[in-house]
Amino acid sequence: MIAFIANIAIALYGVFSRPSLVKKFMCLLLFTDSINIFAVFIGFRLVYGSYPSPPILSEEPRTLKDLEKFAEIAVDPLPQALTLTAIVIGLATSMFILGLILAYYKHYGTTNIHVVREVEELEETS
Amino acid sequence: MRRKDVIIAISLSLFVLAISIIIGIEEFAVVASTEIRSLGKSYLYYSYNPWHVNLTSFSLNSVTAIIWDYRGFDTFYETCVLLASIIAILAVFRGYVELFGLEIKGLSDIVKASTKIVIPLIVVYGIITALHGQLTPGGGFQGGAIVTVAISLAVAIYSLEFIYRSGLTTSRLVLLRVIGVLCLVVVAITPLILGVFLGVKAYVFQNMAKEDSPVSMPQFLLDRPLAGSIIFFNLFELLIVVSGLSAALIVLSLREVELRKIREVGEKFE
Repeated sequence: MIAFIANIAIALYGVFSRPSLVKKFMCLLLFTDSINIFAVFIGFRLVYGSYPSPPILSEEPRTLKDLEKFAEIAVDPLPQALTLTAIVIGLATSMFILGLILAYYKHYGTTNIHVVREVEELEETS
Repeated sequence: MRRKDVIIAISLSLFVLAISIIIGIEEFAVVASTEIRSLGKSYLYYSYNPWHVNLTSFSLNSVTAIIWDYRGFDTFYETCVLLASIIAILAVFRGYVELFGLEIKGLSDIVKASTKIVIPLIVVYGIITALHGQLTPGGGFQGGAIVTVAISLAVAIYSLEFIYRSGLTTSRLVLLRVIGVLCLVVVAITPLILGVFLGVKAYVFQNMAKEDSPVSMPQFLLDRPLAGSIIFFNLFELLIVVSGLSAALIVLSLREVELRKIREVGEKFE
């Protein structure tokens, strides 16, 4: 849990204070992944005496009793499904951000936002 | 500059503290409890349940059942978001040209030979992951991501020219992607069409027969659970993800010569 909070802290620090866009992007991905891991973590359950089973039936159940037993020991599938959705949408947006960063780099020759501001100030003064 | 850093540090620590309080309070997020929420339990109970035919989806994998049956619309819109992001990338890089006949560089022969062995294995593994999505961990998106690894390997090791020569240009890939989304729509409205012909009630994204509508997608192939429309959705999702991600990959790894025209287009619009 502490590791998770530390992860979020590092990611947010990177997003806000690193000047390079690529590093900001990497930290954004780290932040997304920490949140996703937390979402999966919420669905986890504790089963005394044995390990919890993944939400997948390993064989077809013979009777209704087997199914009830499976529902007693398996972890929650809903956070996993929502996390999958979140990952796909995160991938879509991150691809777009990556394209924007690449276009930015092609235009300015750097990904540092402070350098770009200085360049613009120079252009205004000259 | 100094003051800004301090403000950032303070606000960040406050934010992290707020998150940790939310995580710590047990009413909001119970972590590692012995009991899961009743919604999750009902998904586990009904995802493969031949004794409740009206509520089940005949999928051994509950996650896939949720993604393509119980929350099918959600996943469809997610696929559309992926399509929109690819279109956005193409819009950012508008004006690029795909040039054939540039020299092939690539890596050394040893790497090329070993990649030639590995790529078919990766592709087959990805397709299996997608087609067995209802039986084992996996699904259309995961399988598509795995197959895209093969294409990114080919881009890195054989160069972009090899990809073009094998017929994968971005326009074709985007066309394939749109066809995939159309196939998803067709599979989604198939129960509706069947219902019209049979004269019974049916729903969009219907998988198994419900209480008031007997239309059902195939449940078993021989003795293996097919999970109705889930296998078709997984198959087309594989197609969509592979074509979409590889189109984005090709656009992001275009060579300098091909990008030269972008500037001219930009100047024209300015």
